[in-house]
Parts: sequence; C-alpha cells; structure tokens
Amino acid sequence: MTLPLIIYRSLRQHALSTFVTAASIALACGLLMCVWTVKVQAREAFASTSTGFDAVLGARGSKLQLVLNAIFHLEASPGNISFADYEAIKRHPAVKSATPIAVGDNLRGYRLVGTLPELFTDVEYARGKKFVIERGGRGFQLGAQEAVAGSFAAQRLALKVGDTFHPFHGLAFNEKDQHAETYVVTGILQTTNTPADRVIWIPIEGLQKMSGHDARAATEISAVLVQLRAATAGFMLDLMYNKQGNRLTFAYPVGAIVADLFQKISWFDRVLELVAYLVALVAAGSVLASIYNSMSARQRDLAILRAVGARRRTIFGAVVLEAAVIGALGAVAGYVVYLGLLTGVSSLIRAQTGVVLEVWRWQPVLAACPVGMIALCALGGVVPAIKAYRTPVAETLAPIS
Amino acid sequence: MGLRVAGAETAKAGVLLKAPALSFRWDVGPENPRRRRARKKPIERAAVFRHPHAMLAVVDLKKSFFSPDGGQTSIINVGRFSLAAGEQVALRGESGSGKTTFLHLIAGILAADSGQVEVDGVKMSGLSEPQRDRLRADKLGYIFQTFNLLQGYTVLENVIMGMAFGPRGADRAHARQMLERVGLGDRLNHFPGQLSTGQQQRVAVARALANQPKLVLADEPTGNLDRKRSREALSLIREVCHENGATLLLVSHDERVLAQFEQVRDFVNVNRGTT
Repeated sequence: MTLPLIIYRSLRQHALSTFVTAASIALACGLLMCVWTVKVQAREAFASTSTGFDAVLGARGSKLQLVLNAIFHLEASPGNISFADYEAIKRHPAVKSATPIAVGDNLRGYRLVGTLPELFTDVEYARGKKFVIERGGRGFQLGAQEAVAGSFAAQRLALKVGDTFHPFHGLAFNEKDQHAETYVVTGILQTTNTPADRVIWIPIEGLQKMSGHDARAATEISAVLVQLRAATAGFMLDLMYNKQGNRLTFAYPVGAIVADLFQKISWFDRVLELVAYLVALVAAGSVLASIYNSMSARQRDLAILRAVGARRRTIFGAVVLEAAVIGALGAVAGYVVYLGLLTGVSSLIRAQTGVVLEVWRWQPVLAACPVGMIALCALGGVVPAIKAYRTPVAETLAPIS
Repeated sequence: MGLRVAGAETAKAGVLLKAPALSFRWDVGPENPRRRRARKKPIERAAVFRHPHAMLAVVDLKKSFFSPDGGQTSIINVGRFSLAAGEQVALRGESGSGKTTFLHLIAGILAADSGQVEVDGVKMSGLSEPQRDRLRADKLGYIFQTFNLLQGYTVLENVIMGMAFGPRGADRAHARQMLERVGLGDRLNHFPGQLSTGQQQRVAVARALANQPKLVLADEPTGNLDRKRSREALSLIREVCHENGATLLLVSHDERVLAQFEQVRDFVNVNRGTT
C-alpha cells in the first residue's frame, strides 16, 4: 500500500504536469501503433486483395501500373488491348479464367468498370470468395444499360436498386463531361473490403460503345484479369508475352508486383516510423523533464519520508515507478489515440483505395508498444530518481540550528 | 560521570505519568550528590533485575560543518549522553546551539564525523544506510518543530506513512486509533493545510508515536503554539510516550516547556564542543 500511496499522492500533487506528460505519451504511443498497424495491415490487405487473380494482361507498359489499374482501380490504364487478345488468352490451356475489364468513365469520381456478368457468378475475387449481390438486386445483363454498384460507392453516392444515372467521361470527375446514356442500378454488391467496393460495374460493351468514345474503343478493352490453373504456367506466359512479344504486358505474379510496390515505398514507412520513434523519445524525455523539474518541490516530501524510515531504494523505486505509471496512463490513453487515428486513416485509405483496415484487430504491436513505452518512461524516471535518492534529509528538512 | 538509574524522580510527573522502567545509564551531566544518594538502592536493583543497556547512549559524538570561508566549525562534541528506557528528558538550549543537529545525528539522518550513537543496544555507526533507515523506522519517532507533515497526504495517510516503513506496516486501523487518541478522529481525510497549527501538531505527534517507537525525539515541538496549546500538546506527547513506554528526548529553549519536565539538562553542558 505504501508505494502505491506515495505514487498516487505525487501524481495528484502534480496533476497538471502528469496530465500533460501522459498526453504526450498517449500521442506518441497512439502514433507509433497506428503507423505500425497501417504498415502491416495495408501490406496484408493489398496482398490479400490481389490473391484472387494470378496475373493481369494489358498494354505494353509498367506491370505495376497495370496491376494498380486493373485490380486496385487506381492509376490510369497504360493503354488498351484488343478484344482478340482477351479471347486468345482465354483459350490458353493454362488459363483457368480470364475476365476482361474496360475503364474510362466515372460517376462523380467513382470508376465505372466494364466487365462480363461472369465476374459475379464464376470468378473468385479472393481465394474462396465470390461476389454476392444484396437481396432485392441482380447482376446486369449484357447489352443492357444496367449497373451493379460496389457497396462503398453505393453508400457514398446514395445509390439503390432502381436508381438511374448518367456516367461522366474520364477517370476524374468533371461535371461538364456527362454522357447521354442512362444506366439503371440493378444490384448492390455486398461489402468485400476490396477495391471492388468502390467501383460501379457495367456491361463491358457499355463502356466500349459509350457515346463520345473513340470508335476504336468498341473492340478494345483495358486489361484481362487472369486466373491460372497452375502457378508454373505464369512463367511460361510471362516468357511468351513479355520476352518474346513486344505489344502486351503480362503482369505476373501479382503478389510479387504488389510487394515490390511496398518495397519501393518502404522509405516512407521508415520515415513515419522514425517520426513516431522520435515522438516516443521526446515523450519519454518529457517524463524525465517533468519529474526532474518538480524534484525541488518534491524533495521536502521525500526527506520527510526518509525521516520516517523510508529507505533510499524505496524513494528511488517510487520515482521510477511514478514515471512508469505516467507511461502506463499515457499508454492506456494511447489506445484511444490509436483507435481515433486508425479510424481516420482507415476511412481515408478505404475512400482512396477501397482497401479496408481492421481497426479492432489485435496485433503484437498493441502490446509491445505500450510495454516499450512504459519501460522507456521508467528509464526516463531513473535520472530524477537518482536525484531523489541523493536527497540530503537533514538539510532538506530544516536549517541546522 | 557515573552509573545512575532513571526513574526515581518521576513523582513530579503528575497523574499522567507512572514510574518509567528502571535501568542504569551513563551520564556526563553535572552530578547532584543528593540525587546520587537517593538512587543508590535502585542502581543495584537495576543492575541485577532490569534491562542492562540504555535506550540511548551517545559516546564521543562529533560533527562539524564547513563554513563559507573554508574553515571547519564544530557543532557537536558530546562526550557521553544516555537515556534509560521510559525516561523523559528535556534539553535546554538556545537557538543555534546545535540541538537539532544533535537530534538528527541520533536519528541517523545526519552522519557523524566520529563517535557512537547506540539506540536500544544497536550501534548506529556499525550499520549501513538501509539498516539505519530500518532502525529509524523500527525504533524512532521524530516530532519536528515545523511538524514536517506531508502536505499532499491526508491526515490519516500522514500517520500511516509514519508506520509504513516499520515492522507494523501500514496499519490503517491503528493510524485511525492514534488520530482518535489525539482528538482528530473527525479530521481523518483533511489535509494538513486545512488544519489549525495545533491540530497539525497533534498529527505530527500521532505520526511520531503511531509506530510505538522506543525512542521519541522532539525538536521544539511546541515552538509554533500558544501557551495553552503548547501545554496541551506537551502533555499529550508525554502521556502517549508514557503509555507506549517510549523514551522521550525533547529539546527546547522555552522555559515554560522545560518547566514541565522533571529532568532538564543544559545542552551547553552536554555539548562541550561548539566552536
């Protein structure tokens, strides 16, 4: 009871500095956990999103751009390929499924992606997962001006079954570039937590033949999403399209290309981590400074405690523990900061990429970071604890008479 | 210097005081031949039947401080000084005479340059600092002139802290009893700043005695009180010390305080080395 009482009373006596210090630790802890979680979960989410398709076939250009455009619905298409290219790869014996997509229009910033109805019936967008249309809706029919909206796009655009809309030209929304065609929403997809949620799917020929599009586009597509029968076939196709041919790009394997993307932007992760570590260090330093600065005010109390029999090591321990308790208070509050930050970042990432981070998912960093922070704070408490340890009792208590 | 027994002169102590336990001691104070004769018999009894050592024994204790000009100023130079168990003695001394330093040396919160302090048979100089802390927690109670209460702690917590480091531990019920004993049972959760000076003084007394120390050191304990409160506080200290069988060493320059003690010694005679 003694040590907790000493710590509690000291914290109460210096409530303001305790609060400010704990708040800075909370910020540091929350920031560290958030940066780490975003890094890990984003990597996982992007990797798992791409697990449904083994490869993407598209125009000659960057594999990464092709993958980002066809699977993550980001970036512009590197160019079009002919419908015949799609038919050729579809017939290849190593290919299990091939799904053509066409992009080029949007509805208030949300992409319209043209594809075949089979995408919703036959294709797994991730291992063991198929798209499901919510009750009351249905998929679109080829040749009809119908649309199936991803859950996030539908929510943001307040679309429901039976609604109609006019698409806008281009991938970026411009109010003046509206097409004349009217599409009817026939279904809303259940949430998949993939980029497909922020897309509005329409029949592929709808995009190909949209008014105002180049006539050549009528026989062209943007890319083909490919699932292979065997992984080894991918290298064969890679050789065929990328090494022997010079017209098309076969982006394979998708997982490695996404991993390569994260490798390229890993410096940004490191910068964020460095900032978070610096914030953590500053927070630990603030614990040191806060307790150290209040030592003059505390010395009399410490001398009194020594006078009534407290050992030096008890006083030392009390100061170190107090620093650790401030760290613990900050760490607990850090979870609140973490949840707030991650919720914000998660919704931003979802809005931009469709990838969803799980805010409530447990991760080792959620234990390691607070424990590390508490240890760092306790370490920060050692310096003032040494000062407390050295408090001269007699001189502090009263002037010599 | 001679072998003497405490306890024979306790008749003046009043109704609150019973005869303290008898024991022999070494003393360097001025000898009174009549007192010496009066105690002759008990000496023999004590030597045979009572506790063989003094509660406090100080031998050749020296302490000096560096002065601003770089020289050394001797503050304490006590040849021999002792108190028997249960004895209550007041030391008369002017401000600046080194009384507080003497008490600090006895309490072990100030290290002596040389000499020996023995409390309840335990030699302070042979102890490590943690052992001295433990000795202080186990056997000593200290009432400071300025009370030295922990301002951020409640009255009850102040008393609890007084016993927390001793063998009794943080005994909440006993701390409450002590405060009730000093008439502060209704102020348990008050902070020192919310109490009058007299009440704070009583908290300090309760804290010093809560651990049932064998030796109580009181440094001008009534210095901040008016005459009435001073008398009450002193009676309380003596009464509780007596109830607990504690030895009391009080230092003061106030003649009204000193007048309440049967045994009063001049610190200037005890401390021969102030230069």
